[in-house]
Amino acid sequence: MLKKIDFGFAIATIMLGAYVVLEGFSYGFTAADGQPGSGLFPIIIGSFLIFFGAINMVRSRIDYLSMKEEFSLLVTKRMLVILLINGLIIGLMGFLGIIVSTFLSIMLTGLAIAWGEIDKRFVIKVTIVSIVTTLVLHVLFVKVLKIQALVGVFGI
Amino acid sequence: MDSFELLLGGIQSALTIKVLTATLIGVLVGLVIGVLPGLGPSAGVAILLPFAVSLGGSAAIAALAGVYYGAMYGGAVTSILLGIPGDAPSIMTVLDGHAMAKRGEAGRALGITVFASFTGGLIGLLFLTFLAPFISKWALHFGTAEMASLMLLSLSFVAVLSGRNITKGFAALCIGLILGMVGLDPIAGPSRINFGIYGLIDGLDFAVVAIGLFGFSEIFNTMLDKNSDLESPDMRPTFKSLMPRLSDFMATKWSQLSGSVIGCFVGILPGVGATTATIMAYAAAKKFSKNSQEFGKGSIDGVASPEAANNSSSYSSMIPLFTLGIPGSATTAVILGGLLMIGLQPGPMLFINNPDFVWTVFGSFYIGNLMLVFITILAIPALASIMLVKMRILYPIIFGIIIYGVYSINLSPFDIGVALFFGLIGYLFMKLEYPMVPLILGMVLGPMLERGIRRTLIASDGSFAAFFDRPISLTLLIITAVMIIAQVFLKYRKR
Repeated sequence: MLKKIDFGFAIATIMLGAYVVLEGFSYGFTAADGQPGSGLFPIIIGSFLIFFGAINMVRSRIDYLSMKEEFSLLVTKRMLVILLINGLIIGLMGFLGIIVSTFLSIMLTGLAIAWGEIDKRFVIKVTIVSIVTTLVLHVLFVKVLKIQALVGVFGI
Repeated sequence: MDSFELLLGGIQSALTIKVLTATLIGVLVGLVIGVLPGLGPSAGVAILLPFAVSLGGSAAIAALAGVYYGAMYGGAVTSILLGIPGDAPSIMTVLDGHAMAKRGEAGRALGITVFASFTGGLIGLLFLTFLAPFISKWALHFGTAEMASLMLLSLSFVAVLSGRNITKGFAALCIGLILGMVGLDPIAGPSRINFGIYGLIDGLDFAVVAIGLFGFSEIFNTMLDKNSDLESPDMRPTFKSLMPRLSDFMATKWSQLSGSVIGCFVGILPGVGATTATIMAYAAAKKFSKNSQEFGKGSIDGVASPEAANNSSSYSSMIPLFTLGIPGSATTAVILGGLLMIGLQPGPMLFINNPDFVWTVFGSFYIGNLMLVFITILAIPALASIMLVKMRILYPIIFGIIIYGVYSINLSPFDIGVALFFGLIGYLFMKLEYPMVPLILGMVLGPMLERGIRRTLIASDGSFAAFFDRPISLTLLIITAVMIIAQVFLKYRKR
């Protein structure tokens, strides 16, 4: 599984390099006055990335390095859940406000990490931790350091 | 009077209640700012600016500078305990500092941070005190060609920092250089490589990427490690392990010294900054260490060297500010603003017209550096006990800290999403054995390298000979070539 991902990642780096080279050409290798243009650096670096990406891709196929680790399906699912939860919360942050978003992120991440071993005591504990942490962070950043808070529809 | 006598007079003048209180407030605010992810010393100095200016005179600059070097100390705390760099120059500290903390040696790691920071700070201060005028003149010889060559030399460390797979290291470096290009072109102006995403038009914030790469990815990695049940006993430190050890100071003396000297020289160069100094110091320490294979796995030299560089560069970066009136970084630019607001014009005449002010400020730096040692040593057991918190509670808290920290950088929820994305990328990097440091190196140095190369080419009508005509640039390029060839050769010969 990991070797397939390694191969896929190498292809992704080649695609990134190709995108940067193409973008570089659209900016121009040289400017109108003959001086180095905005595309000079992207073209050079993008080409290097394609080169190294190709080597890494070949190596991943011929098993040049033997990666011993493997992904566990259960933990991968757990990470995807955490990414999804937090992605959703961040997407809704403009609506929820930073206080509610942070509280939800802490609590739901805690529950996702403990997935499979959640009991009533842990739920209470993680809820209290979420409230206290959010309040401490809010006081520190907004009240003390005067960072402008993002206020949601709940007025907080 | 020689510099030593002037300094003694300055220290004496700084021992007033007003200057001492200002220094203390400055270093405490700096420590807090440094600990918080996202907020770097420039933000801290800016936050304290109105208060500091109201103090007036040398107390104002003592407070502002206190925030600067206090933040440099504080940045290491979250790097070691949580694996989140408090600010950009603390990134190298994450690599070995957090590995030590996970081994139950948080106190040792924090302790060596204090010692190395003190050593670096002291050597940086001695540079500032005694060599400032001479070094400033030397630094003026660094034009765009020399800067670009220096950046290339820094990038050549990629082979040292790449671990066992050098081509993945170079691929990571290229990705970092591309990330550094995202946003406005430094010369011509238009937005580049923004993938059609509106939020990327202005570019990626380095701190956001670093927090995601190191902070979130560390959480994912530990959480998803099949061998870790998140309550593993080896992560439970004993009381003894929470205490700093004096023996570590002696064991790492050469790393501290080399890091300090590198920090001094790199810190002087305008625009290069402490982050570059820490990367170069770490690479040098790894290169010359007998236990180079331990680097990245919890080597105490891997903590001492970048921390010393970090702090020495924070003082040496004030050399061009005081002697030439040129701020070399965002933080010193804010301090320059403070100097102007209290009615002083930094530059060579400052030493002639306001010697009392200059030497009192320098004196307050020595006092502040000593203050930080006592404050942080007293705080270490309390800070290190964070590692006693169970991971299933600690990690969600870190999520909360990252949300507020990243949001505070640009007041943008989009940045939090970017950090989360780079957390996933960082996790893949770990699993696929792509080193993360070259990526960071590329992102920091890329814009400076591009600016240097293009400006040099513009000045020379497109001729690359400009890089070889200047002696300093040519020397740096020869060293770069020798280093790359030697490192690649040695790596492949080992196989």
